[in-house]
Amino acid sequence: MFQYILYRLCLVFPVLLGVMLITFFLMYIVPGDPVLTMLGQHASDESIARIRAQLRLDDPWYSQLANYLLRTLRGDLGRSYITHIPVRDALLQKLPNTVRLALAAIVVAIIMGVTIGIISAIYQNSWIDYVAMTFALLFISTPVFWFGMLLVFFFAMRLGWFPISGMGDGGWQYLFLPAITLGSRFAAFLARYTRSVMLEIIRDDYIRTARAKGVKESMVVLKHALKNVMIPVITVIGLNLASLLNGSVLTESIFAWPGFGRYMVAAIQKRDFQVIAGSVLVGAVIFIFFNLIVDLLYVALDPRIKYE
Amino acid sequence: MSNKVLMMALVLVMVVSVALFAAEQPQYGGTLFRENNTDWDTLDPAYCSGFDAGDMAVKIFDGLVRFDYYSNEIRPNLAKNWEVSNNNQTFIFHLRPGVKFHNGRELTAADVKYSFDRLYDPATASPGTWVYDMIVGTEQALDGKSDGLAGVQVLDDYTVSFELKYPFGLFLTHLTLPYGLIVPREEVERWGDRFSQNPVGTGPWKFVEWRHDERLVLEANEDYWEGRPYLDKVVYRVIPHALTRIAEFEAGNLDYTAVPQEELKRWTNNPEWQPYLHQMAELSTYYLALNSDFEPLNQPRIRKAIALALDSEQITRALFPQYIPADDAIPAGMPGGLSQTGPGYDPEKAKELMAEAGYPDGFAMEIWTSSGENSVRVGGVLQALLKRVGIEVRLVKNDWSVFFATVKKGKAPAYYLSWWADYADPYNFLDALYASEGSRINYKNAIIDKMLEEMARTTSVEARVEISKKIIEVARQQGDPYVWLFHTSSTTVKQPWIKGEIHHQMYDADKLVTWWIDQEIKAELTK
Repeated sequence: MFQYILYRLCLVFPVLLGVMLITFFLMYIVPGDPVLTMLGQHASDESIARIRAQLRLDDPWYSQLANYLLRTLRGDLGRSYITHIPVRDALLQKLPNTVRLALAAIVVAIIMGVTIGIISAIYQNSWIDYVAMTFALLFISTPVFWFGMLLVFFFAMRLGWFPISGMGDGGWQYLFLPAITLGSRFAAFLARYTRSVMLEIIRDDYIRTARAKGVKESMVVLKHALKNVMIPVITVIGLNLASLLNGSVLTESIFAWPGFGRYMVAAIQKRDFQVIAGSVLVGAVIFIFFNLIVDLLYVALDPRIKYE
Repeated sequence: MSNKVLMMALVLVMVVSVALFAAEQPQYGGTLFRENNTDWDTLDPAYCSGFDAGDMAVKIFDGLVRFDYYSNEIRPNLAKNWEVSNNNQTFIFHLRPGVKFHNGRELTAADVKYSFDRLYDPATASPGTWVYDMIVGTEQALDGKSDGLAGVQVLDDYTVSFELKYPFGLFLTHLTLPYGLIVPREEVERWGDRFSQNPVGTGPWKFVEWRHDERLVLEANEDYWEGRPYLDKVVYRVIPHALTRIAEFEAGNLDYTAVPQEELKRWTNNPEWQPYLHQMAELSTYYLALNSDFEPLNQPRIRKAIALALDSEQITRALFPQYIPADDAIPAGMPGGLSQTGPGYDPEKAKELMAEAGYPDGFAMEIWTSSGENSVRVGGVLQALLKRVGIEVRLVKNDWSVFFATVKKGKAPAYYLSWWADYADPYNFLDALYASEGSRINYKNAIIDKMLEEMARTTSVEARVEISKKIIEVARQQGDPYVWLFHTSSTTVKQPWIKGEIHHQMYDADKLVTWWIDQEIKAELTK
């Protein structure tokens, strides 16, 4: 097991190198210029040339790439061309906000999605199943933006139960609506997915055996079926949590949530290469980390799986 | 009721309103809650290339001069007065004694020199070097061949002189721009790249806190040389989405905001809010530019035909009824604004001109726009109107960065863009749009260049307005490379308790020293 973890950690380095190379070359060939964003319509050819030289944007590609790789190896993610703020500082500020939102959204998704999925499977083809799956379809098809505004209208403006936007003093009430908005779509997906996995499992021989032995239905579901349902479900949750941690720009915009997604999208629009490169790298690390966690969770859930 | 009686009643209401307003004594205290749709790129004056950054920087820092709070005229600020000599080439500023930075140190002429030297220090890499390139020694400083600007000299602790390379009548106006705000050397050196996160100026507001993408807090500078602001504190929240901003306002969490376009009817039709709504012409001009590097747009008759085929009134009415149709480059509410008559709308004449130019069956062209929602909408309308006269338009939509890079390189045959005033003077618009040097549409007109030079030299606003009219006329006669579409306006709404002079056309004119809160009204309405 320890060897497996070590092996996976060793694999991280070539993956990250690949991510860095792809990001660099994409940014190098993509049209647009951060200096034009800085200078705006007053940009003269001389001032563009001068600032490009100062930012070393005119260096040959291999020199820029070498600088970027060496700097990153030293743990320096660079500074934003536009704001001059170190990317590391900005990420340290935004990531905790995004982690809070993503974890809250995933909790919403698991509680709603897994529960509804299991109930739907147990009561397959009943009115409960139809209602649950209709709602699931509705939530999957609902644009996040529209759903977020709807929540704001009813629960913040009409009922006054929650704040409209922002993080305020960091209280849970500020997290509630953004988490529901971000988590609802995944909850709907998870409900459908859990239902289909559950339907397969409850027809398996060992479940039939358990029932034949007279085990109570609740025990059949919670002890025998649920554990096996969770193996594929955890894979989906792990990968989606990584996506949510990489930011959800729409939810962050509607609720004025100062997260990673808004930061990265703004950087892409401004061609702020240092910010894009730093954010993509951190995003990749998050993705790799959660993949590893998911793989390790398999062992905990399924004793048949052993990593040598 | 006869018209006369109605008129008298209106006059009476106005007199009573004025009397009531005059009787209102500004109150001190309270926190103002405002919003911004995006985080500020910087608070360091040397990098304030955007409106948002400049708007915030003028609250923390002061320049030698500033815009008036009630008009677009220039007023003394850190300089109590000045002398102009040598045919508008030498400016000597006398500073106010006793003005203190927020760190307690007194401002002197050395700070003024340092701030301008810093702007032209190659290590600073400021995007604002275009603003003062008329000062002697800017090239040498930027090339690293001199230590500071030879044209800025400290005469004594409270006197500083500026020597210009050529007469420039708008030098004082350029000094109002955020790049000309004065910074304290010791704080810049102490914080280095982090000065933007820890700004220290002489302005009416002291920096308290900046949580990026979330909020920025300022507190009143009790020692401000002009007297402390009425408000105690200002909290700006970064709220990217327009509908969220208006929802926060409606819930009473913001004191002032812009009404989004999709909400305009709901707010303007609500009598309860009508007294608190304000519509203001903005100093902007939206246009379609025609690039002479591309056939057949290099032909004046074709450019005239395109202008005649596009009805700015119809476009504005259909898309943005609250905006003002444009006849020329100069926006309403500015010297020389809305004083001309446009080319008019005459599609038949447009077809005749196209036939004369050798295109009786029309032609195909590309119009470039950014992928912003409004730009795409305008592009669609331009496409439809030009099709009526036989011009097949292919819309090329790109994100701003790609779009503007293409425009800047002169590679876009035609494009939809705007110009927003750096300051309220026709020169700012005409020089940016018609000057041969740096033209993005290969427009070269020696007569216009000469007139622009004259405009730059004179200090008389009237003279500049007269010349601007001539430039507009010459451009029109020779096939204007721009089709003028509209000038924008903003509709804002404030809470009933917000009082004072709160509407400013120039983004960098508002130092928030004329705003105040009527505590009684606020207490009454929020209890």
